[in-house]
Amino acid sequence: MYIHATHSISRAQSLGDKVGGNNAALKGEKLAAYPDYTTYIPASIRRRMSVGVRMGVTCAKALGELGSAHSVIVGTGMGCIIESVNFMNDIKAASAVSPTSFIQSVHNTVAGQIAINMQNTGYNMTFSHGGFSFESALKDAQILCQEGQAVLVGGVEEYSETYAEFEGMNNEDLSEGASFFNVSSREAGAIAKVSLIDHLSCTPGGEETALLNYTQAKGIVAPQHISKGQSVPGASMGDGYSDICGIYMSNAAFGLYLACQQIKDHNSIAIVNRFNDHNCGLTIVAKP
Amino acid sequence: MDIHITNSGIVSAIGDNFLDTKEKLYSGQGGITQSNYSVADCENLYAGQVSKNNEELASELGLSSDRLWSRTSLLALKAGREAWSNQKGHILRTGLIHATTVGGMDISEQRYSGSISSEWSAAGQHSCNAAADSLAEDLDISDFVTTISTACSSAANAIMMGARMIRAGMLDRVLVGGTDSLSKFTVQGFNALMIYSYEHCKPFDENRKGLNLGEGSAFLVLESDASLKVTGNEPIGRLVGWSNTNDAFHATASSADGKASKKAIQEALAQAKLHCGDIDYINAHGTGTDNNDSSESHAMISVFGEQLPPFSSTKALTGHTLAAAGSIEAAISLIAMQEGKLIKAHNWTTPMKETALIPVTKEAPAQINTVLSNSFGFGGNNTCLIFSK
Repeated sequence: MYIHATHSISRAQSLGDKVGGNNAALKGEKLAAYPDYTTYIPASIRRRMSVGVRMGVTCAKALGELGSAHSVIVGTGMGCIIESVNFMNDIKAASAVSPTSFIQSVHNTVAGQIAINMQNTGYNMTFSHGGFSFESALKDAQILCQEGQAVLVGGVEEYSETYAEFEGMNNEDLSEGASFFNVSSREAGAIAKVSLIDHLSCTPGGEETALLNYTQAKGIVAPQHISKGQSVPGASMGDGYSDICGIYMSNAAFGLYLACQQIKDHNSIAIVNRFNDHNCGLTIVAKP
Repeated sequence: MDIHITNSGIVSAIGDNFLDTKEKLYSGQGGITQSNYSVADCENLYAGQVSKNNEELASELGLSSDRLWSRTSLLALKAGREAWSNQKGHILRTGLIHATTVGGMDISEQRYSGSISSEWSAAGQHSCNAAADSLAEDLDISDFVTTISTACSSAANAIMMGARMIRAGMLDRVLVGGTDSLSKFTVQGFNALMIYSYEHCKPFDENRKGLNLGEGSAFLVLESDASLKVTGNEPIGRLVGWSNTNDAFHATASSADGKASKKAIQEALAQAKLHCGDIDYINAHGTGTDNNDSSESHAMISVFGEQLPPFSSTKALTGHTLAAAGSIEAAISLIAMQEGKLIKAHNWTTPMKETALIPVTKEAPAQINTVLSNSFGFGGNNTCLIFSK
């Protein structure tokens, strides 16, 4: 599977910007650097869109200018958590309950809105499996590429202060963002190749050893560079991509976005995403 | 390559397991009752509840009480274990693909309302992956575990994803299915949309007033040819066709002409290399809402025309189980093929004026070799599956 184009919005960079160098300054920033949405989403529609939908649709439409896709796949751990919390609060207050929050709370709202806004009537899928959501989406994209499709695939998450406080996670370095990719099985013109999507069974601290054992067992060349990150709060993975984009469940998509920029300096990069105490997502990217 | 179905597990308002469901399906007794289900906080609510409460489910499953279990996880463990009971620890590439929309919403609601202690974090159960992770741990499945959440088409998509992974050579066998429990969130949500019926739902009836929610879980075990050689299991059916399309029309409503649903049915038929006349029964999505039943009827007419096979919606028996609907209706489709008996459209009396379509009105014996099962949902999702003997 080859990546042909990518767009990302995170706290480290807005749409079309390069990721900056000062990671320390980013720490604690909860919200992404929102772009000027007017280019991609008319104001009348935007008002009814939650943060995650805006970021996802914007990345998707920006990628639509670079290539067309038959299918749309989204990975999101918490889905539209802001509207979910709004709706729970409505119920709790026993007030007049708005159907708008309910409609927009559904996990596949982002993928559905991408379909509507890009008039894409093809395959449309949403994976929501905690910190492994994006890798799941990428795995599905890989199968679709084998089936001959061009796919728009991405990860998206929005930050909810209410939810973070409620769960006692407000001191964690939580954030939000969206990163999307145009992928297909066509090699010509690609910026990177995704050669493997899997998971590594290992406890925190054991990632390098587990990766080495994994590549030896599979008989594949050990990746030249390891890019580590974490998609859930817990023991720090050290100086990794999640220090740049912050912690959120689908931030492995940001890891892949960053790897697409870094691949010119390495033959291959392993994106290792710690998503629970005994598993990491593993995505291996190579020069096309 | 054939995708064999070797077992199924199911729990819903009409039955506690696969055999029980088989008996109740033709008993004339629907599972939807008028209840004051405490979780949903609604009086005189018509809903398809699983008869056992959380304590009974946990005790039956022998689960530890020092851990917090959402109802979704409990139902998934019950149906998942039943389906997986024909499997052993064979050396096969094994996956689990689950589907849910509410996840642990019941736990989050109780935490938000303060009715359960704050020492329990809801986070571990709230997100959609909790049930799949619990089930994967319980059954020792680890090669590929994920969760799909595409509203009412979720479980159908999980079944399809499992089949595609087998066909792509990534897995040998995979447990696929979906689960949703009743929650205030969904009851209030559909109520706010003004599509929750305050009487028994009547899919495809002129006087339908909306849907009744239900809860439950169902799983299928899908195996490749190579897996069958190792497990020695006898298939109970095959998954022969699938398709997923999007309306790209509206966040919740289907287009009036059912254009994308039509495309999904046609693509599934083409993939299965079948013609309209090959379908013996359609287990329709048939929620009982104005919009779905009208749109779905137009889609069925435009694909099948004069050759429209017998059809009915079993949501009149189970309630609309949301993310579980696709797998619950897959299990029911398998039963219909095994029993060779069409399933009656419960509560139906009057044809819709706009289409004059008449669903199955009698539990008639029939040769049912091939079933089309429709699952449509919010976000414009349409997924169609075709099962065969």
